Amino acid sequence: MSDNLEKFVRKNREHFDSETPRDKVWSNIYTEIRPEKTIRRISWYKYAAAALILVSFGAGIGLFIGNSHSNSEILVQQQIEESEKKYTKLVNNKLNELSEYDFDKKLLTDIELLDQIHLELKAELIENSGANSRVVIHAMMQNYQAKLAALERILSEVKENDLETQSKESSTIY
Amino acid sequence: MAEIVLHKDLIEKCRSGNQEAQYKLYDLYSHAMFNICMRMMKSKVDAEDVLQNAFVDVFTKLHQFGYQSTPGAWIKRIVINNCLNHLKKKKMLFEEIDNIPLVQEPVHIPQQLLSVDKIKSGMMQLAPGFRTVLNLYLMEGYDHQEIADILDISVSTSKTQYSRAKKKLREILIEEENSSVLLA
Repeated sequence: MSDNLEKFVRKNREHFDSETPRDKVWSNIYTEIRPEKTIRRISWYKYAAAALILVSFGAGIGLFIGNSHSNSEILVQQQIEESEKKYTKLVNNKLNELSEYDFDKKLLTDIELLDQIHLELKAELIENSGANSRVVIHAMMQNYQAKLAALERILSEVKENDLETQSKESSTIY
Repeated sequence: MAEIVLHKDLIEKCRSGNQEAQYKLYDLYSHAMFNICMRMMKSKVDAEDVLQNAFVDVFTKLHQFGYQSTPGAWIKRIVINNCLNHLKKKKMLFEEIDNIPLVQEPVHIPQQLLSVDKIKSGMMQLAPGFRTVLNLYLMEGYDHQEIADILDISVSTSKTQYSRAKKKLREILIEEENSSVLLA
């Protein structure tokens, strides 16, 4: 059962499609799908791998050293809190800067992986507080540094792409 | 009966990364798809963002397209999903509708209020949930079962939303007409 609104729309359907997207939409799409984009996928995994090696190494050393640091939990806690504050701020600054650009969110999967490792490190720290905590904390700092470096490189790539897109806009290539 | 266009040759060229073919596919469908985005998203900037993301999805998922439907229908679903993701991101979608029994009564809109521009502007004033269902049924031609699948709601919710959306649209059109008469 159709009413007069439905009949009207059916009869005039093509007149409802009157808008046209700007040319820059295609150039943005092409920037995303062009072959070199996929080849240039960044291999942050080496950072992740390095962090993982550090954890296993840390666990080993921890077992070796035994529990000589068992009463330094408070100190450890303070150390972590301070460093976390410092690095979180640095990371957030970079993320804020990145958020001003339009870019392929897939680039951030590497960051997510580093985040995952960070969580694992933290869990490791809670589980084995004392024994190998120094090594784990060291690995955590390495993880932060890797994340910062990764963000830095994504940012410079995104900025470079942005400039390319802007210069292309005046002479769009089909 | 709609003409069934498969564009097999074009799709295969796109799959092999032929740039010219990729642009041709975009050129074929971008106009219709952009208008879907405009109706769903309201703002031109948002509509262009969604169109861009949707076509990146189209090209990266093209190897999954198996000709079970037309490329147009397949692309349209990707575009609509992108619109919905964007709307959900902005937390604008669907208030829960309680399943009150629905009498499907036709909504009669005074003839002089039926114009493309008036309907377009009236639809833009609807709440996102109403606008989405009205768009999918009235403009995009999906039936209530399909809308239920797309939006992950029940068929009766889709019907209720649609019926209420039409009534609301009617109210908006009448209100607009009255205020313009008053202003004249």
